[in-house]
Amino acid sequence: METIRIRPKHFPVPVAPFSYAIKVIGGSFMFIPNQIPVDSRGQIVGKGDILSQATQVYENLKAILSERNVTFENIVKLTWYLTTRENWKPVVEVRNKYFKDKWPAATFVLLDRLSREDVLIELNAIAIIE
Amino acid sequence: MKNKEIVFPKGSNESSIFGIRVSQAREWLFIGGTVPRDANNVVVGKKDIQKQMTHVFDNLRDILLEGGFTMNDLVQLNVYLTDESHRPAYFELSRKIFLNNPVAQTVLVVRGLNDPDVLVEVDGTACIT
Repeated sequence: METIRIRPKHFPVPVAPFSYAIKVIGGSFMFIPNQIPVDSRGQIVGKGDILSQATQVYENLKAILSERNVTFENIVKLTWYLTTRENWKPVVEVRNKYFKDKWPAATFVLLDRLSREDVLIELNAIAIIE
Repeated sequence: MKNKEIVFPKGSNESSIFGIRVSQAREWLFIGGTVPRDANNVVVGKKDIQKQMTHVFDNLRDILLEGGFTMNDLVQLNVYLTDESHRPAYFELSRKIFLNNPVAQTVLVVRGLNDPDVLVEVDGTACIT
């Protein structure tokens, strides 16, 4: 299995931590649906607290990856959804604790609302598994 | 059976009802949010959806080429618009681009994207079988 981060030569080096695209040769995949900030009992955590909610979704993601013995380095695509641009910076702070380098191809989208009124962040991912 | 085929349900005349079956893919390309920025990282065509759509697809082509892919290798594409009124213009352009190579597209109108000046963004998946 091989992964290659793609950047056309005339494209600027990303100023934010992301990859324009990731090429994968071989391997198998895990498609992870939207994660919301619930704990293992299904209770929403950190109501009104974006830092707590962002941490919970990343912890949920980490638990899923760990189940197949892979890490955040194996994530090739990440899509995250917020309801206000104000929450972008705090979420990036949390994200940077989980991704050290090997940034995924990423998309950020602002929506009017998420799956539940008290949910401030959702994210989904594709990971490669050897 | 071909390694890539468009799947239409029998008896359906609706062109939007289809899937793309891929088997024995050798290479995949996962493409992140592609925006209408130029080589200086400046958003082009502010408030001009036509210019921005054209630039987004130019950037998408460049990313695919750099990875050894072409637009014909795209299988799935998400399109994020920030204004419902831009939808007809997008569909007119995409009909031309994907005329001979249908792609599983999802077009959404969202509240906003990473940069308030960006009117359209795409991400998606390509593969070579």
